[in-house]
Amino acid sequence: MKSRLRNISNWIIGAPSFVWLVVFYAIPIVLVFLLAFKPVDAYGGLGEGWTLKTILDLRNPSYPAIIWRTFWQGIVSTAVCVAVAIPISYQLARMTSRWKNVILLLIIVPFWTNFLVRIYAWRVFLHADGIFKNLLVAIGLIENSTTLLYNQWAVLVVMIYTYIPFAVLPIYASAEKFDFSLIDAAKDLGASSFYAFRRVFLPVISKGIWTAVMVVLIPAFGAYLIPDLVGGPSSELVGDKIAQRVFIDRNLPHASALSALLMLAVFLPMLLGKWLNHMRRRRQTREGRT
Amino acid sequence: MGEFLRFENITKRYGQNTVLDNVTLEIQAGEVFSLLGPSGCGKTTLLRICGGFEPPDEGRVILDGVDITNVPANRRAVRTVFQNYALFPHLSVWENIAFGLKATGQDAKTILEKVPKYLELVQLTGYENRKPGQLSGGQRQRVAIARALINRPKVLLLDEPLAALDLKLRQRMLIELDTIHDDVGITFLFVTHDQQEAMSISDHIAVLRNGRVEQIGTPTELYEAPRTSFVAAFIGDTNFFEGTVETIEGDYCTLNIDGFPNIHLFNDKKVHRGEKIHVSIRPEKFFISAVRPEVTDAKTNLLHGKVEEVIYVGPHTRYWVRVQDWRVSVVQQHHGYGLDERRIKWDDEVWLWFGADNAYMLEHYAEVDEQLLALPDLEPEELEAVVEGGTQEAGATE
Amino acid sequence: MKTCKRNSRFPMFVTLLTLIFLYVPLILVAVASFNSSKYGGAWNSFSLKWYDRLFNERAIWEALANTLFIALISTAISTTLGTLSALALYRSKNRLKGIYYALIHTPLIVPDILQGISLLLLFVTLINLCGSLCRSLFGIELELGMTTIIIAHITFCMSYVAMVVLDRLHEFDYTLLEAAQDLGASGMYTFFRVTLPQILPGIVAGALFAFMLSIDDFVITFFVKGAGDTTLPIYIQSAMRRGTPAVINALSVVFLLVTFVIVFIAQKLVTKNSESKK
Repeated sequence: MKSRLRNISNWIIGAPSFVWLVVFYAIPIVLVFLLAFKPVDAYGGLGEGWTLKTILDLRNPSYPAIIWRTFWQGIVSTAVCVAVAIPISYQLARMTSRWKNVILLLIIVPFWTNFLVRIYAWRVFLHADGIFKNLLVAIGLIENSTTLLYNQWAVLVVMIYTYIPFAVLPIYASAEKFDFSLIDAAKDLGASSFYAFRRVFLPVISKGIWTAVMVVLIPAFGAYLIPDLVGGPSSELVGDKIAQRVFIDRNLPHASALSALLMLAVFLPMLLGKWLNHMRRRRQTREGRT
Repeated sequence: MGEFLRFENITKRYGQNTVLDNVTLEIQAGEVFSLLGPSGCGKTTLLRICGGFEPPDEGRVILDGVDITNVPANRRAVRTVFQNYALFPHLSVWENIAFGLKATGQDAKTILEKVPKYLELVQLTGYENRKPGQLSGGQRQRVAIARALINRPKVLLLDEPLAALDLKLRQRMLIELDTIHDDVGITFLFVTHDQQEAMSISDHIAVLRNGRVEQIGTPTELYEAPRTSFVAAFIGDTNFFEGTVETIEGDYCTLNIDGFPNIHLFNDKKVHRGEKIHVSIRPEKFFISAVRPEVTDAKTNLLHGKVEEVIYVGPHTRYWVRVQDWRVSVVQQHHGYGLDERRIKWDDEVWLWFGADNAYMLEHYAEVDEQLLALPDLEPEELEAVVEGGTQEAGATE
Repeated sequence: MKTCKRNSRFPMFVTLLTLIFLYVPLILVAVASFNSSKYGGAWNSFSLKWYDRLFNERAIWEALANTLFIALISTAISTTLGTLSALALYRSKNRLKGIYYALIHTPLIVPDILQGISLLLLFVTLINLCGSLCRSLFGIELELGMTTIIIAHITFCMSYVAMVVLDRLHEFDYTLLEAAQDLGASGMYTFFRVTLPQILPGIVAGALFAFMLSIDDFVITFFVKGAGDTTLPIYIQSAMRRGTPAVINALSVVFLLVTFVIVFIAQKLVTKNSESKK
């Protein structure tokens, strides 16, 4: 009887958020997939009936390039962010002085600084009349006619810039718990610093690294503001295209078809990873028994 | 006084794993009763059933004549000192101790009166404003005790309360617990895996193993008259011998042991001639000497052997002596410096003797229990198997 | 200390380089905000005129008021719902738990543009389906606006709160609940005197997180807002689309300073907390 009472009270406290998330999160995701099969009406609204036209439109030759660019920019920015975040986390976790807190503060501040402000700073930095451009021209590295902004390299740099703190925080969280006497033990056994780092430190913090990969890669796939503000027509990503279809063409079905694609790109690898993990664990328990 | 707390045919399973198997115990009012056993023997589960944190699958718990099996934990006159103390970290020492009074709706006056009294009982007056994080292990332990006692429970449950303390502190807290018990006169149900702890504090001990009660008795009974090889080996150290009864003379009999001299022993189990029995002889029951003693008493067994190992541990020395095919573990107290026994060295020929009353017949013997001994008398390959078995077991409990 | 010397300097080098990378653009903005020249290229003279302009810009104040209004309401509601859901998740052992957990957890992973568009699709569908009905029955016009923005913010903030509180609950020593029960406390008493004080830091952290996220959000707001609604990020974005107006330099510096102070205080509080725990 006690457990039933507990169940009921659990339902009462759990129900509001459950219903909320079903209505405002689960159903909208289903809608994304559904509306991809709807036609557009002349006023930018949803038409009657169902159609496959929108899905077939995705074969438009401009898309593969955009999807490919979204993909490689996501991978590259993730790789760079994680590659930079690992030594930073190692350094931070090792430090004991007051400087540790200062550096941590300096890394967290950009993380919490308004996203638009960070992008804006780069627009100022790379501006055609900006000090950086003038400097590069003065050294003779670039011509005066070269534009630093509005190209895919600008998009990539700003993406790395905005996501670095995202990568540092989870890796640092794992590294902080790392027992550095393990490194000393490895060295005592004759390992070089780098060998100890690679064979002891990295495996132990691997969970933090995977979290960092997730929290950088997924928003990078969905990046919209950065290409919109520092990119040009030749550096569009899937995110831009979705926004363009919504706000410029008023073609919601087309936007949902693209979103559905992006959604699959995010969820399928995640489900696959989860499944593989599940299978591995099952195999381990089976091996453990025999 | 009579029986006060009674566990009646308690059975508890987790899935296919039977943790408690038909356990029945009777605990007297005002005594310290210990549940002793290795980890995984079910002692903590039994305690949790008594505290009301887990229901038994079968059986009843009866406290002071009332069946409390289905009474929720917060309505039981039973309080617990948790293994990790479970002090509320956000509350001060005062608030922790007062928690039980406030939670049961007692008025402010009672609280003001009682809390200082219990602070004094556990010698923490002056610490009332500290948070648990600012206390030492021993102080935390005392807060946990005061907090549990303040509601005047009928039974206080202590779940390995000393496990987190270091050796010296553990000994001091043990004495303090004993004093507190004398002061409050409440029944203590004490769970531990440490036989010395259990021996020194308890009026009665129940030795548990694999969810069953192995033996119940006073500390002396358990130590001097163990019923099974498990109890004999788990509490203290011992020597096991296997033999056949050869002759019976009055209250005594002679035992024929393969590869060992015949020994005389007290026939308390009324065994018959030709019966195969196991006996346990505690190491300190042996006397050891480099010179042959003059033994006139027929009930004294005299053995001759060679010292294989000597370990000096301060108050006493341990010897392992080879007597024909057997290795005998012997402990000798040092009563003074420079005595004969201090001069016995490795490889010396020595004489051992012990009284026939000091060998005790076992009702039940299992060879696995040899593993619990300080140095199991096994061949090297057997020893290896034991070590591997041990690690496997440890892996399974994790 | 000998070991310190043998340690590679490389990690420190990367750290410093990254800090330079992170701060050079921001410092440049800060410098430009005091430059009287309209374009940051050449230094003209020191001036506070952009700050003056910033504080006299009515549209910014309006946007700020909207932002704070949205943030406060969505923080309050999402903190309540998120905390409750964390508690329910922590205690339930039921089969629905997996689905419930996925519902709360995955919004953290879905890119914001997808959350934005999916909510937009929901609102558009709802307006299509019941817009006319509502108009004729209640005289209410269903349209995108502040309400839809707040709903969207509650939705994405809730998951963060729930996760932070759930983390705290998992750290929480379960025997404390048994101890309270053992001392005679009822379920309610235990909740208010033991559970709540223990998870309160988690709730506060979750609420702060929600508040910051709500203030910071541009993408989702942009998708579900009505025609005239402006929040601070929306204002900055529309100003940026018109170029690099120097007022934004000043605004960025204000943002940076506020963030600095908040993070500094938060860090002090956290370290103080962990010290007192030891």
